[in-house]
Amino acid sequence: MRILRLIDSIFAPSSVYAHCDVPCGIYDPKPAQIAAETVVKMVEKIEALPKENPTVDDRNLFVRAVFTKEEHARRCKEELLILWTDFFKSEHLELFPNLHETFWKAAKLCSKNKQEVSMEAALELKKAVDEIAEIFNKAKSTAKK
Amino acid sequence: MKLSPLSRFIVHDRSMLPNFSPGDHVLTFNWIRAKAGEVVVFKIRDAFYVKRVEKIKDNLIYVTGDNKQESSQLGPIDARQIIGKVIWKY
Repeated sequence: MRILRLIDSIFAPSSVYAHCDVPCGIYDPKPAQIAAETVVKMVEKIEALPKENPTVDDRNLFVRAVFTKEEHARRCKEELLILWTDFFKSEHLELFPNLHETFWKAAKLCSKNKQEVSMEAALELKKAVDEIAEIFNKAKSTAKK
Repeated sequence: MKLSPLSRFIVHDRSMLPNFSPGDHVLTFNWIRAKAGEVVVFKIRDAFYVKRVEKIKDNLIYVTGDNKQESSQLGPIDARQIIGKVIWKY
């Protein structure tokens, strides 16, 4: 066991997913919410860095924060698209007539947050994803009745 | 048949709870023919998935998650998509 763990620490094993993109009923807005929150945090970190005479550590943090922002904005979009295309059905449109518009805007905001370092855009994304989470929870509770 | 007899993977997601949790490392033996009840790793496009074989019918393998609350019957998949059978969680 220890040997295998040691090997894994040197040569990382492949990721294997218990969930797959086949309808199996596992939908949750939390990963998108966490990703959006991370984008906000990364923008906060980037904006807090000194603009003049940055140290090597500052530059390192800048690169890491931009990388993380990029990755989480991508992840957020991916999670939103799964909810949009797999969880929500046409009957949900009757309950939430702005569903497509809401998702479309949120997905666009993911891209905007990749392109820009903007607290306004990051907070807009967080708000949009929280709104989708609320719609999701309402849709789920309606389905249970 | 895969070139290597063994492969290593890290589990993500919760669909195989309580038997396999996110972060578990698993070892597969790849020179096998999958049987019902076994946990297998298979490949769809570029991603690997872990599920339990529910039944095999007409050369099609029906897989399902152990976490019935969060996963329902999937598949079927082709035998050629199977990477190996999980033989060890470490």
